[in-house]
Amino acid sequence: MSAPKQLDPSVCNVKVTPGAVVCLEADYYGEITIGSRTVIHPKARIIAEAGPIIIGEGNLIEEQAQIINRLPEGSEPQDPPPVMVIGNNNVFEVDSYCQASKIGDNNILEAKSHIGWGVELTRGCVIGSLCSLVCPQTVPENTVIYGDELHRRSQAEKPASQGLQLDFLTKILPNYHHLIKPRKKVAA
Amino acid sequence: MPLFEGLGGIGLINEKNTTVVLDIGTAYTKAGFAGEYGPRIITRSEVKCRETGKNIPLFQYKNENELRHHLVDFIHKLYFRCLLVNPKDRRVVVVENLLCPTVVRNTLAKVLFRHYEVLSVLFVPSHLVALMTLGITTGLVLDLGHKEATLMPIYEGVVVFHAWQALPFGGSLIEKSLSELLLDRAVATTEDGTEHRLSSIMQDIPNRYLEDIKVRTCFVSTLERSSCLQNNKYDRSIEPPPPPPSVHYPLEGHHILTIPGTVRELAAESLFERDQDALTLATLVLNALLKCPIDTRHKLAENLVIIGGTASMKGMKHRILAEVRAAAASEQYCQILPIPSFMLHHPPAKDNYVSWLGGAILGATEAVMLRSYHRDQYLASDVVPDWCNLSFNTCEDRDEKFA
Amino acid sequence: MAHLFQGDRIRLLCSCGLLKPITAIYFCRHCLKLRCGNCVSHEVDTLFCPNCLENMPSTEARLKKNRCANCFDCPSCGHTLSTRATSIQTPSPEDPSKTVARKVYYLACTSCRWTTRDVGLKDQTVATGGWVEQDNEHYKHLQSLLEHYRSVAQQEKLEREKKRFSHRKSSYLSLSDKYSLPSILGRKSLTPLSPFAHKGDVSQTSEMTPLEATAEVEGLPEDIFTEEVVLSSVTTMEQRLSSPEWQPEKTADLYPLHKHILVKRSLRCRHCEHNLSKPEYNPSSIKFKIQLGAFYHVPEVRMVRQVELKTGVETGVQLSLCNPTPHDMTVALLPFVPEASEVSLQKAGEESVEGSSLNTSSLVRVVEIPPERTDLKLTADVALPQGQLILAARDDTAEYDDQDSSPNYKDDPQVVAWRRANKVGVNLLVTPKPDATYVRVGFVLRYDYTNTVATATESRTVTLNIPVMVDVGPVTQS
Repeated sequence: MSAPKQLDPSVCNVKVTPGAVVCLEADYYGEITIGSRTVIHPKARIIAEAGPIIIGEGNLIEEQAQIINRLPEGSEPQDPPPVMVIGNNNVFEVDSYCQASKIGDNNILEAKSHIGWGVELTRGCVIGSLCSLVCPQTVPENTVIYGDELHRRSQAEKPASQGLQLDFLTKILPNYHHLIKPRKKVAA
Repeated sequence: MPLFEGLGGIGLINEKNTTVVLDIGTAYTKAGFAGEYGPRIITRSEVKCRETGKNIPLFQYKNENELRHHLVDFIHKLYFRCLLVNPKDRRVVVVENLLCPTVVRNTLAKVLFRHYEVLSVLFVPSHLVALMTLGITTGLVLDLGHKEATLMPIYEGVVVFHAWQALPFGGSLIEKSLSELLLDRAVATTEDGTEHRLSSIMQDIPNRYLEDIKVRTCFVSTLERSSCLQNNKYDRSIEPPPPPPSVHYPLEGHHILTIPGTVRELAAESLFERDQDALTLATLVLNALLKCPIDTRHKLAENLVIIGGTASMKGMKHRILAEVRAAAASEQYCQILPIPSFMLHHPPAKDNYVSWLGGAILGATEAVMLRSYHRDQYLASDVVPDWCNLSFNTCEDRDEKFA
Repeated sequence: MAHLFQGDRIRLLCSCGLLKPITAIYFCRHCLKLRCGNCVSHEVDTLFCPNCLENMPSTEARLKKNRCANCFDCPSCGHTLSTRATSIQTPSPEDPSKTVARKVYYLACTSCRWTTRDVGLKDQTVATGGWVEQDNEHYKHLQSLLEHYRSVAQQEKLEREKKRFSHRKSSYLSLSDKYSLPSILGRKSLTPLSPFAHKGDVSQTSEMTPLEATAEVEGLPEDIFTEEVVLSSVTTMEQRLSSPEWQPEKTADLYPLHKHILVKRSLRCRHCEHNLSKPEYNPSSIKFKIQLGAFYHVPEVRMVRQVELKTGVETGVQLSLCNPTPHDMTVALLPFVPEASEVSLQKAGEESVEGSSLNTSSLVRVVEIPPERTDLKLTADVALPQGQLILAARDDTAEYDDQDSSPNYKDDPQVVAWRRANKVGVNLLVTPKPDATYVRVGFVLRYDYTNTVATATESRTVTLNIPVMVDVGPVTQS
């Protein structure tokens, strides 16, 4: 592998909290804050175009997952810019797409799910594989959306957290990928 | 232990080849075995079109040949997907409405006898066998189906046939008025978060959504509220009752439909609004009673039975009973039909498979052997006896029997 | 390759009158006729659970209502449920003050994440089974009804035997004969439903208590006009109907469903009762013991390439013929006349039935299915190659031979465009009719079939005619 490329400070400003595993190869744009114990895989895309993205603790952002803070086409830039806040212990599975305005805790976006602009996930929601949610709405707690007709059901308890997987990735990923180190200056 | 209940344990006569019981409805088909207490399957009456490969209703056909193809495919699915038995040399009980079109009945017989080579077919009238689930012999049976409501009085096991009543009031009418109401009043939120009238987004609502909305959100309102709403239509000064809460219904991922409470309440009202002939479900019951012999009326009125899938809608039976009582007390009927009380039966089954259950009870008895129409008889003549066919029902014929 | 995506461009006319692609047609070696799914009799062969792939004898399947005892489906979405293990702390049996970890199991759906815990079902201590079955609440009543009506029917039968010629029935009862249960078994036996009437004098049938009607019925719940509807707590129609006896209205009442088992089907010719297709017994095997597909016995016709067609312009269409049998075959293409084809088909049928009468038990009475009518309108004139050609036998080793060892067939170049192993290319000249937008041509494929089941006394080769319809393609307007 070639020498580690540096993130271009003119393009992005990634603040990493100690304890997070954030691969350098992923795409970053704009102002991004990443909480501790969050793992970001090397082919994820996090694009903070319209405003900053704040990612909480213990999130798992897998390959080809996209988290994008972008305004819908044709709308005026807002002041203050919209901040996309992602809570704790969420899982963004492979090739999921998220443009949600706000994400709470313990949500799961399954593989190839799509969340459009203006959607708010509360807590413990599961968006099933290939489910596309593009109409602005607030998804109630512990909702599971599944199937090609987007059936909804609410479950009794929130989905189990991915603690073991996070621990494993925290150990393994640094062996094979360059990470973005927490900046001491920023922290200080 | 219904799952593992032994059929032999309850002494089934023809244990080896259990009789199959079919109740093919316009919207849903019930299929199972005689002697069991519930159908094995209730499935949509739909088949894959042989040309286009799309699912289409079983009874949507251009000619008899197409209907036969539909039935061949559908019965194949029933036997080899659901019942998992050989159709050949096995008896069948078909629960049918007495008003079922002759072409359907004949085609069904042709398919069963010729394509599937069943041993015998017993056509039983759905209204009559519904009473068998209750253990009674007299009743006024109202079948609220998908396409129409049909009513047959039955007295001591005999269908009082000339008093039959039918109206095109069924589940599809509710869906139709639901569709009109939704297009008129419902609001949909689109992808960009703005609200639009539903009619500006889609011209018509797919049937599966209509059915789902009907089943999950709609109900039949009470008579008092309904008359209040009716009066409000003509006289704005009368305050309408507060509408029930509206429902946010996600239409796939793209729209969120806001179904107003009034729509939920009014969708089924079309069944109780008088049509051009001033007929409603209530007059249906009363007119049938009027046509019955005067001595039987009291007993029939005290043995109302309401069956069919549409009857399981929330509040439906309550409303029908209230409507019937109100209509009986009205000027039109109170003189000519003085009936003190109307009483309703509660069949030991879900409303949508009561007739099937009756067929299953009958199919488990020896009657199925004595009364069935046998394959050899069919193959010899290629016709099915029918009450409306004079060649089976002439006076001459009857005399012959008595001779 | 193009052929793979246009499998039904070339269809054969089955003996029942339907047009089907060769992949959907069977060839009965005993009747020497084409059969298709429409005109064979289907039979249930073996029953198995699609999840655990275990065979289930038919008696067991009948007792278990065609459902697997061990596998469950999700009542919410229909996906297969998987067993999850977890450990809980329970008081130790010896010392209640201490706790020990115990393994418990519950069922969970991997698609919609429904679990048995969602509906308050207790976890099980064994990995398989143990789930309580639901009861039909009307079980007792229905059982007594069944017994009652059975004894009524029994009595009716006895009475009928006793009083065969009793004339006591009034004309009033004959009315019931018309509209109540049909008494179709001969006109002599007039049996109205009156024996089914609950009569006081029927002493043996008293165990049943009829249900009582009530003056009041359950109305709407009071809160329906005020309470918000939580859509996710109301079941859909599919969820309700997947357990027909209970039809739960609330998602909280859903209950794991035993997995419905599936069948392997075998197909049998209606005319000679020979098997056309019989799968292997083992559920995990996808092979067949008997598979008389037409593509093993009938020369396969393919279109070599798509051509552009213009109204009134003669265009060459190349077809390839392929011999799937291990015998040489003489093939000729004859013109197809839709009106005459039915007659000739019938004739051919009669001949072959006579020819194979040795194989067919004369006791078997064939129930004919109604004849099918298919639109056989041809939209182009076709000039077929004249004369016969020989299709070489299929030889699986041929493609490994380096040199071309095929014998010289002395082909007429007017007929044969090319020849390769067991394949031959022929040219047709197609002229679309004036008002046609889509070209369909037909011909009769005449070939010599080597009968593999014929006895020594019979001639081993039979000439068969199979009508073939080719959808050549759309006409481009010139």
